Amino acid sequence: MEFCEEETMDIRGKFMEHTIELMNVTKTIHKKTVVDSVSLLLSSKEVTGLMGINGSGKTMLMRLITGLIRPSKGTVKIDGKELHKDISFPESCGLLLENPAFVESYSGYGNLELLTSVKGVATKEDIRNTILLVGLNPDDKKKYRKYSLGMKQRLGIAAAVVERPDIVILDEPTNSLDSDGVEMVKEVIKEQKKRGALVILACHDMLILRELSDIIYKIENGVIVGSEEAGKNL
Amino acid sequence: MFYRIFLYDIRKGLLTDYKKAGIVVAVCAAFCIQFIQMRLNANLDFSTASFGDVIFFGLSGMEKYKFAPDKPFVFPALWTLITVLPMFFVLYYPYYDLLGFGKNVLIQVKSRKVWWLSKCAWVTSYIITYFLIVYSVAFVISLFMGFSLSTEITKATYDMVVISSAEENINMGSNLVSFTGSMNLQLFVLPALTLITLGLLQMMISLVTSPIYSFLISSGMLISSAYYMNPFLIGNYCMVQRSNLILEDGMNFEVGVVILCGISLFSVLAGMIIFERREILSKALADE
Repeated sequence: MEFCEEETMDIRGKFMEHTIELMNVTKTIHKKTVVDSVSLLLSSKEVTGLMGINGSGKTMLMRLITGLIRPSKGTVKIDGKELHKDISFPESCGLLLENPAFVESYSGYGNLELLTSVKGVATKEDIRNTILLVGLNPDDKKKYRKYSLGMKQRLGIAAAVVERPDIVILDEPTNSLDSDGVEMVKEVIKEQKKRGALVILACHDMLILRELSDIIYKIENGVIVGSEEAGKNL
Repeated sequence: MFYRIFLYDIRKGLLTDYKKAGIVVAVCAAFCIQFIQMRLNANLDFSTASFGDVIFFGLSGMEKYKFAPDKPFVFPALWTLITVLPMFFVLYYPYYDLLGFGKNVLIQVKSRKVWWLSKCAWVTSYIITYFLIVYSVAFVISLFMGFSLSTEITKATYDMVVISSAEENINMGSNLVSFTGSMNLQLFVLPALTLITLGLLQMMISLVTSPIYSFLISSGMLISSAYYMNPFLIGNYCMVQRSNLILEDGMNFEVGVVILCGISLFSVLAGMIIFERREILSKALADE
């Protein structure tokens, strides 16, 4: 068996293409510790679930991984490169954080076309297929301001995956979605995993997390208090 | 990558803002109508007016103010509206962009420096576009009214705007220099350069405070410029009436360009350093 040069071996003996390594990461904002001494190793082709109540630190952890905020202590490494030292942001990362906000006067297609114009790797066909994947119509001329909450959420998910990033970060992707929408999210996440992406998923719904995640971390007050690996209890 | 994110900013932060052009057209039409009304009141023939007169009238600002008990400070409302409006237009886009999918864009760009430089280029483009609209509306109205399309200022308009103020202001009359009709750099370069500088400064300040505080600072600088004539209160460079081509101790074009470029460079570099360390938080946390 041959491996690519960038492939490394993790502690569980699996071969992987991409890794995220957090080492004793602490984040303090306005004198409040929102993430406290978190150490994690995440790898490609796995879905990592984050579970916790509102304000437990899930979103902050995701912001730390994306490079949007800096750790007060500790380091975040993406493929061995330290964030804010070797690189400013992950090389290839799609994210859905909080409420997605798009250009009000553009259609869903127009918004994704604008977003992908910056990197220029997604084709028109990729955009159309992604919009179809999340259950929207790429030919729909309806402006974003007229979208329902569910449609906005679907477009936010599409924006996170349209460029087939190596790392996909989804914060509460099932918010505002009906049961069909939840099924769609499950399919999207399974597809990301299948193509080899490293997926991080924060969700309130334990059933969804258990169905999709390879490993689930429970966070309380910024501290990882437990984990559950593929069906084992927290 | 800079080119791509700059195009993104132009599309998202300028072209989608096209409705605001209507406000600019309305404001510009209002000062053109005020100019026409003033000429009608003075029984002056339209054919003797010029396009340069209209711009001079709109951007004249106010005479140098010196406190006197019998001379209350009269706020230059028209000039303030023309100068504060673009400051408000460029206030929120970078802020809201980062709260929305601008986060995804920043991560795709992979460089905070490039993101910041693109926003600086966007502010510059926005304000240039603003002035192009102002000049275009004034040009079209001049054409429609049968004014000369010359950029020269006519003596009649100079007398209406400057001499009438000087007669009212006993402190100022003796400081006037002999009239010159040609003030192209003061009419077409300094106002845009001043507001670009102020826009960049405002955007840099908004990184350390919030957009609303930075707006209060920039509009405060403009209003205090009307009150004090000082080379470092940069709003003075935007008031054609305070040029050294009108006043003996007026604002010098070359000095203005050096000061404005210096402040612009400082704002771009300071903003770049601040944004490198900036935490991209949610609205609630960012506002705290």
